[in-house]
Amino acid sequence: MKMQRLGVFLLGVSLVIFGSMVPAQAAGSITVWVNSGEEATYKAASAAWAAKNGVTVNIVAKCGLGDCGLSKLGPAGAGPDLFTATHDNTGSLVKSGVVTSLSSVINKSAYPSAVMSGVTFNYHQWGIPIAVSNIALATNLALVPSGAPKTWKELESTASSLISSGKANVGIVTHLDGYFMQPFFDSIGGYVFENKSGNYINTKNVGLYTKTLAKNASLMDTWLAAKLFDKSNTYDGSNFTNGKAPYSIVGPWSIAGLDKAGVKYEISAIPSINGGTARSFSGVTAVYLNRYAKNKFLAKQYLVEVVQSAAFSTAITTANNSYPANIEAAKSINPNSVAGKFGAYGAVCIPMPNVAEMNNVWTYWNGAFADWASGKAKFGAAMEAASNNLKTSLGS
Amino acid sequence: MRRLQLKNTWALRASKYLISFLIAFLILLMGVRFLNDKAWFLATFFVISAALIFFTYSVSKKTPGKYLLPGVLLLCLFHIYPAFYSGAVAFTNDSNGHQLSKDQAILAILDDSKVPIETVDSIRYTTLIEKSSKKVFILFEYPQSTFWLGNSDQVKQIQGNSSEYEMTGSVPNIEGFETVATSNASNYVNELQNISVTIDSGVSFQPQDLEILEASSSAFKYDFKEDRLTNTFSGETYTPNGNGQMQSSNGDILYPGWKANVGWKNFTSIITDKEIRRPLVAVLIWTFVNAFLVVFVGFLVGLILALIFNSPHLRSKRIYRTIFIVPLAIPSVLSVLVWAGLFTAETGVIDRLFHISTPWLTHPWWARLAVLIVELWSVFPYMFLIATGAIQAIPGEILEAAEIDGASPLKSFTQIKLPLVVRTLGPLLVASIAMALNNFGAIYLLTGGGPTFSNSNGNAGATDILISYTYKLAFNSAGGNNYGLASALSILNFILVGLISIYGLRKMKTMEEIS
Amino acid sequence: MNTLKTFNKRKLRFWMKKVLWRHLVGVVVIAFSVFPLVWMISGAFDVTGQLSTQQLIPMHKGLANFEQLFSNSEKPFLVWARNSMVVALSAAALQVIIGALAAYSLSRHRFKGRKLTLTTILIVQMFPQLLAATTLFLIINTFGKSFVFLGLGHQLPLILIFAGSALGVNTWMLKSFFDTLPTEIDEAAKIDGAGHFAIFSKIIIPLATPIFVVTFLLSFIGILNEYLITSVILGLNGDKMTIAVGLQQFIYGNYGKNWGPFTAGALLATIPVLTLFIFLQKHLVSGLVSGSTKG
Repeated sequence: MKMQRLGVFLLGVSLVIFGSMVPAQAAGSITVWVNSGEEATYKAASAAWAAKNGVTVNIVAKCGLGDCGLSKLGPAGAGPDLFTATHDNTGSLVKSGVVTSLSSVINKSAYPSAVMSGVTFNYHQWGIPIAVSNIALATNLALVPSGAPKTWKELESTASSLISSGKANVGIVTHLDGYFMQPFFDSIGGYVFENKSGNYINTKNVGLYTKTLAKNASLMDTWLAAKLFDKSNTYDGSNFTNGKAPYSIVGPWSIAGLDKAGVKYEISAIPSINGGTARSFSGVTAVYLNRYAKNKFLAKQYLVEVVQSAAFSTAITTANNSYPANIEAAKSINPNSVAGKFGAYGAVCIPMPNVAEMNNVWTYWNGAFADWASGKAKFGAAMEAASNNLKTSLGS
Repeated sequence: MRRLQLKNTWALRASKYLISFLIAFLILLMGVRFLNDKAWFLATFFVISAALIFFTYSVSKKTPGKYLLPGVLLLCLFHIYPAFYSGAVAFTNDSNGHQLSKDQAILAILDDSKVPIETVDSIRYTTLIEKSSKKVFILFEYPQSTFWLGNSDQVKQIQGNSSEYEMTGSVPNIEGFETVATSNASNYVNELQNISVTIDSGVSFQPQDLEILEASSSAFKYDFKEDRLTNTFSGETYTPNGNGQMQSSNGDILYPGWKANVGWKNFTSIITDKEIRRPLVAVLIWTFVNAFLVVFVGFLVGLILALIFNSPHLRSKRIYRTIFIVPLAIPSVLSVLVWAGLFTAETGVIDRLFHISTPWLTHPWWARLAVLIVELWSVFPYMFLIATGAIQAIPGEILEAAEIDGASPLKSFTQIKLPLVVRTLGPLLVASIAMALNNFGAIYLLTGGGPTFSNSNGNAGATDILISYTYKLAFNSAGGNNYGLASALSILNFILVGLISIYGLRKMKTMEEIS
Repeated sequence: MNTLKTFNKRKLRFWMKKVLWRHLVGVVVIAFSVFPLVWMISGAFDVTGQLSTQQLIPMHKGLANFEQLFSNSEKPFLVWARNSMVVALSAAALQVIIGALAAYSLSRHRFKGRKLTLTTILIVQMFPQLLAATTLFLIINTFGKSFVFLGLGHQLPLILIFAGSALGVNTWMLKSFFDTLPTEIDEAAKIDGAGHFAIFSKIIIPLATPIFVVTFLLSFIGILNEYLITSVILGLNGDKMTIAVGLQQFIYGNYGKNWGPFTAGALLATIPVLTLFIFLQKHLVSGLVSGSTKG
């Protein structure tokens, strides 16, 4: 829910954001919009190429997450040449006509097929992948010296004994929304859209309320009541860092905060309730080309020579603790490092659907989680309503 | 003495004339520059403004204009024009997937459908400039020994020699054209990157950089005259539907669409579309309830406090008054965010302080209460001040007369003070209601309008008022960035607030006239 | 001796009946008024920077939050403060000047479009400018194509936009005040041979200084507050932001709300405004109070 607010705020603001390059761009310069906080990394990674070719690479921190208001800015000539976005935006970016196909530019063999499927839409590729990120389970080693749980039973029993003994306030610190709860959702038999080998082909096949899920739904209610999940839904990380919660669902973006707080943790896969591993969503960060870019030639050259290189992928992912999308770059990741652990789990995750219909999904799915958390509805009922509403809004 | 004065006035008038002329001229120059850059509206506006400035300050004898012109000009440019523009958007389907113009959309569809053709060798091209029109053309060979000269608008086949082309990179003696050396081609980058040459067989060629072309065949063909797209593989045809999209006979829609005029559809959808109507009704109800509650409760609190602290027996009035109005001094952007933090369930300060556990921001009714508390906090200082003013303005004789007549404090309050105060502050209260109906910050920063109704498409929540709902419709991608609908709702918002204000003011006027 | 005691006792009882309860109410209201301010102060000095562990007197006191605020190169508070001041001061000044000129004319001059102008001003206020943000963006974007300094990312167009709101509530308030100044003053000056502008500048302005101060202060605070249109025009570029936009960044992340620097910055932003407020509260109160009765 808060993520939506973040998105709305960012979108609302960035929607009418300007390119600080509005005065006619100098020939020999390109503008790249990146995620706030990452400008330095991108600048450093582009410096050598920029110097060699006499090109000014303007890295600007704007959005970097989604559409960034480009559907208005692009045609108005106020957009960048390139911008980063997470791959789940691909469908809506293509549908609004904002991006140009990069099929002829991309080197398909440099990326794993799951990553490629993330940036593929309508048989074209639209973005050059840089990083793969997914959530994973963090275990507070001070509270759970035995380390990360290998099975769900282990997780559940450790958490409940800590809660009943009063040592912990909550079992798992996580957002109660679709993205974060996907692994649990997956392990009790739910899914968003039917996924055939990495491709979301049938958006009419909605799996928010399947038979398996219906059978397991009451488990979620029990666990919410038992404080395994925090119904205040505020993601108060201090519970985890202060040793009041044994587990937390974290992403690469959380690592800096965890390290700063000095907590000892271990990253691992999220165990599935029905055995095996639960599949979270993996997100691919990719660079897209604005259809109305001012310097398409230079931008394409930059994509081929810089963005597609393993060195670039390594540079960006080292800085933000995610896993490189580039196969070559991934070879040099230490499997015992934090990034390595994220990546190992990420290999079994499924890519987030990149179809434009996902916008509708988030609305109803997150709403269902919010209702469940606030006590307005039981898990099964909330999901059933969401499933019906989603199907109606998709016209199926 | 008089002659001196006359001379002064002449010099003064001359310098005033000169200054206004200079300013007007400057603005005129700006207008001309806008004209040059094809910014039609701004050009017109600036030119007319220049004329008005010159006329008002140098020619006209009428004084009101001289005082009002700067304000009026700025008002027109930054308030009135945007309001009309937003209003115009209400009659379009401006939203995600409908931002481009029709031409741009069709170009995008054609472009996106291109299937690359693999060639053994890359296709080199040469840049040429047509001497008469200065337009940019490209020359290339495809397939062997066939030469083409063209740009996005036209293409023709020309004679040439393959081996000569390979050596020199050009075909000699093309009349009316001059060749551009590769080193200079970068001067034409802007045109080159947008050129697309399509030859008879349907194959298109686009420059990939300054030297190489990419050949592709587009799956679609556009017939400009018939306004029809044809899928060359399947034969399916697509024509514009009423919603700015290309649609086939069996309902398939091509993306992207374009911004199209949809008439009154946005307005009627408010009534006919269940997905819009249901949350809207709830939002409207809360908008009014919220505004009226805040103003009336706030006014009551302010009035009571004003009465309490107007007592002559109280010596430290100034101190109380200064501290009471502290909420006015804290930037509301920051204070509301601080309140949001304080209201956090269980771990927030309020819950911990009172040892309660309330889902302040996640439960609809608690969220509404939280919003009301924060709004009351912001508004009571203002109400307190104006109530104090109004009470102090009550002539002392009336109150003394009432006391002599034996009226109890309560009676004195209800029959004398209250009516007088309400009559005096009437217009201000009406203005407060108008502002409360549009109190975006307090709602959006505190709860984001949430908690969200699960039956809307994520845009409407329990604490949403019309303006925050409209904002989210326009800027929330989950709702499809529906500027068209948002603009229609803005007009509705405007009418509602306007009607209430006019009604309120009229009522105040009649009350005054009666007494 | 006895009479003195009974006299004092009666005085005390009188005081308690008439005055004590007022003080009690006052204390409760004061607590309500300063509630967020108190916690802002407490949060600013709490180095753990976590909302959930916030105590009234922070357990871990320190200036770390302020250090973080000033040393963050991607979130430069001092730059934001400078930006805020420049924009707010110039725009508020413009608003007062333009508003005063217009209000004077609307008050003193009777001309054909007078009623229409007054009504238009009132009506235009009702259309919330925030929804016109997209249009304003497009306008400024077009400006920028022809004149760089008037384009997006610069402060001048933003100041002009705010100046465009001068003919609004401010003008109404100023006009009401001018209405209270008797026209005899104008007449007397006219007889003495003063032109219309001389009357305005030499006589009206000095008389209206208190209300000008009030208007300026309210405008100033309003513009400091404004973050939507500001962010639209100035953007999310670290060193172009104003305080209002910049501070939001600290707590708008899901993954790590930085409550500490936020409250520190909010406190720093509040102090000057609060001080100005207290200093000028005499004028402010009398302005608002008199404004209320003149309607």
